[in-house]
Amino acid sequence: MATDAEIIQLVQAGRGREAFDLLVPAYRRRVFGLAYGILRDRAAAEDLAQEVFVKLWQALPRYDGRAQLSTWIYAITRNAAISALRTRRRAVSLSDPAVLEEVEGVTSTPAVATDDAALRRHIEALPDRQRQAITLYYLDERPVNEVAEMMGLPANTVKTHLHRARASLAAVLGVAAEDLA
Amino acid sequence: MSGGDRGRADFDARMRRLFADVDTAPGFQARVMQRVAARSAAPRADLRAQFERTRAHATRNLVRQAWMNAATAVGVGAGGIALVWRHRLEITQSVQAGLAAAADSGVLIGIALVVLGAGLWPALRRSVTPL
Repeated sequence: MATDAEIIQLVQAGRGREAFDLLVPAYRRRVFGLAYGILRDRAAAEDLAQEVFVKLWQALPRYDGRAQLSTWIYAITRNAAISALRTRRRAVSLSDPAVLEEVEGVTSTPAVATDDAALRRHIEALPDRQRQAITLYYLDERPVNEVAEMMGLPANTVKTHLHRARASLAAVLGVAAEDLA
Repeated sequence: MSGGDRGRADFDARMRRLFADVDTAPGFQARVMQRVAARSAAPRADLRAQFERTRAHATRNLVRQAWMNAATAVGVGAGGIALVWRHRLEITQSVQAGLAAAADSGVLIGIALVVLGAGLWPALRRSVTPL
C-alpha cells in the first residue's frame, strides 16, 4: 500500500494519474467506511465514495500539501456524506414504507443479539457519533487517533464514544460492560 | 489473560468479523475511472451544446432583424406612395411647370449635361486613379 508521502511526491512531480492510481486503493476502504458510518447504507456509501474519488481526481492537481493528505480526504468525504445525508433526510418521510420497515426492524430486535443481523441492527440504532466511531474503528481496524482524524473530533471524545458504544452493545450481547472495558 | 481481557478480545473479534464483509463491490477503481472519464467528456459536450445554443440564438436574431428591415422598407415605401398620391395634383403641376420652363431655355441642355457627367463620372475617375 502506497504511503501519503509517495502519493504527494507523484502529485508534485505532475504525475497525477499515477498518484491517483495509488491513492484509490490506499484510501478506498477508509473513504467507504467513513461514508458508511454516516449514511448507514452500503450502496449509498459506495456511490458517495466514488463521487469523493472523482472530486479528488479533479482537486488533486491543486493539492498544495498544506493540510495532511489524509485530513484533506477525510474532510472532503465527511462534507460530502453529511450533505448527502441532509438531502436524503429531506427526501424521506416517515410515511415511506422503507423507513417504517427500518424503524420496525429496530424496535422488534430481541433483547439479546444472538446473530450478526440483530447485532448490526443494534449498531445502526446507536447514536450517530457512537455508530461512526465503532464502524471506523472495526471496519478497517484504524487506531483511535486516526478514527478521531476521520471524524474531525479529539481522540478522547472518540474514546468516550467507543466506550459508550461498547457498553450499549455489551448489554445486547448479554455480557457485562466491565468485561469490555 | 483475565476475564475482562478475554471478553474484550472476543468482542473485538466479533466486531471485526461483523464488518469484514462491509466493503465496496469488486471493480471499484474501474468504476471510479469510468466516472472520471464521463465527467471529463461532459465539459466538451457542454461546450458543444453552448455553441449550438449561441448559433441558434444568433440565427433567430438575424431572421428577426431581416423581418424588421423588410417591414420598415414596406412601411416607408407605402408611406411614400401615400404621400405622393395625396399630393399628386401639386406634383403633376410642378413637373409640368418644370418641363415647360426647360423647353424654352437652355435648362434642358444643362440638365442633359449634368446627367451625362454623372453617368460618365465613375469611368473618368477610374481612368485617372493610379493602380
